[in-house]
Amino acid sequence: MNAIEIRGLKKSFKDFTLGPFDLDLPEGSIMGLVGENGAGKSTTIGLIMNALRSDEGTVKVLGIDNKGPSFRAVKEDIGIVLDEAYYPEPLTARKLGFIMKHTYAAWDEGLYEGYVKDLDLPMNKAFKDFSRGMKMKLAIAIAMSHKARLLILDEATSGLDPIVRDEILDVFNEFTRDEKHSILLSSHIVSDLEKVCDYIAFIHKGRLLFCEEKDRLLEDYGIIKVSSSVYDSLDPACIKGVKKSPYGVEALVTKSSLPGGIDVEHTSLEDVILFLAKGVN
Amino acid sequence: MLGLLFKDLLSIARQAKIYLFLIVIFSIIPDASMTAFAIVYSAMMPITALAYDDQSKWNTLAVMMPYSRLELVLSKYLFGFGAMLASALLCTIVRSVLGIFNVGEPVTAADMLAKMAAGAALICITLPFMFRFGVEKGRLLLFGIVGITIAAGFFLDKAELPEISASTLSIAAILAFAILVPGSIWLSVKAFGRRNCF
Amino acid sequence: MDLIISNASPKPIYEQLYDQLRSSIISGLLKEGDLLPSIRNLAKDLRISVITTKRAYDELERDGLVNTVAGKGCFVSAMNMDLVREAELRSIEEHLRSVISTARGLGLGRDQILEILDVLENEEGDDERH
Repeated sequence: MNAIEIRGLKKSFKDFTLGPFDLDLPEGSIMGLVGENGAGKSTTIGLIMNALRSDEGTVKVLGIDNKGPSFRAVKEDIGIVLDEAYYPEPLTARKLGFIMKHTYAAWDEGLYEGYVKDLDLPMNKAFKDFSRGMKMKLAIAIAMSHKARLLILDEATSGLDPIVRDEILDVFNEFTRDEKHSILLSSHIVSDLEKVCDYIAFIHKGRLLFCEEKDRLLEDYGIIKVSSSVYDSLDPACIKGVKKSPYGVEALVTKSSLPGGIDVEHTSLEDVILFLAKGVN
Repeated sequence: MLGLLFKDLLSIARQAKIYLFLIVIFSIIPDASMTAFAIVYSAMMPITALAYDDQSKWNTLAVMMPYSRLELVLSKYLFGFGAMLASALLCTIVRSVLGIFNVGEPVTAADMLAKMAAGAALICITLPFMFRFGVEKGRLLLFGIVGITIAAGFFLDKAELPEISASTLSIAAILAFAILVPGSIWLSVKAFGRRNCF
Repeated sequence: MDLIISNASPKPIYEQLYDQLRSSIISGLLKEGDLLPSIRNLAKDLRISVITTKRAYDELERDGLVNTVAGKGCFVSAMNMDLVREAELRSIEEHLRSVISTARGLGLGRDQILEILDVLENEEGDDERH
């Protein structure tokens, strides 16, 4: 089953159009949604949750149409963390726990208190006195405390220091130990996505450029650093992105279609994305 | 919806405590219009709660939680009516207690009901406006209405008005609210959607 | 059992996993009938993708080194020495193919290749004597 199934999704704004595109998030996997700021990641998440109405297309979350009447019940199984934590300032972690208990049917107080403690958060401090990192940690604690099957996170790790980010990525890793649990994680911190994702979907200027298995991407692509003359001799079909300097050419290539004899460097996901974004322009 | 009501209550907890204190003071003052003030003021509780919502952009997240847009809007109405009811009750108790000592004016049901009606009307008029244009502009509208009402009350007092029986007044009021309340809620839900939480 | 997966290595992750599991099985570290960790748990413990782990397990099964029992998991197969031998022979073939192609690139013929083979074998003999 697909945790999320998107077909022909499209939304037009004054100066920007998102889609149309199709996307599937298989149950049990972690998908990273990568793209520069303004590419359409947050919009996509808004459309998936029907917080924003699409112009065209359908979205099914955990098998249920997101515009249908049963969607409200499905939201019980979805944990959301947005790029900011949108809780009223006077509230504390404890009070939020109380509110969530009366919001989510499957709210687990013990689990919540455990997360709050493990993530080093104060129970009784007003939200307005939380640092950004603490706010995000609290939002994550809440998202993980109501037996959700699907986590949707919008830039949840941005603005966190590396140690905390790593802790949180571990939490996500553990979350998907259960094969019925899935995660959609949008971020522009590509290195984080490289650590935990099974799939990578790349959104650029409102278009979905690809959705691939992360490991295959890293296997198939490589970077070559060659002279301009060598570069010009290559079949353009194998070049996916290029950076030229006065001293040579750096290019992203599909390893399999490259003629022998050229040194190909192993690439990081960040490089792949950077080159592909450049290459398309 | 219970979660939403708790959220509003917990958010304005500090203001609520101050307010409880004020109600008691108002009730003690032997001037009937003070009770009116108390009850009407309580109708503004949802507005303060809405202010916190606006400032934290709570609704952006709330629409992704297991709440419908109707619930998100309705909770503010319930909160306002509930606050009003609670103040009315509190005023009645205080004034009744005072009445035992022959202090102040006696409480009448008509008196309380009239004031609650005023408060309810206020809620029904300002909430849709706030959902559409935000809390700041809504507050201006609120003060505007209160000002106009006080002025109108003043003039009406002076003018010679025909006697309207209590029963006619009640029926008229009930009819008015039968239209006003659902109408207001409908407008608010529309406004909520337009304001584009995302 | 140690399993070390490197992200920096040019070798694909599924291949690294496959190779290490395979060595463990052939060397006897993992015995016939031993239960391998579940794909998901292994993936999460190693912090690698479940898809990749599955790929490695599928290849091990394809090569007859393990077999999956529905509902129970992946077990190390009885050491079918023929299969291992076949796999090793395939590996030798691949290596020889690459030697031949490189030699051709340099212009070396069969005789020169055999010369090199002699030198190497002698070296090994020397090493063994000392």
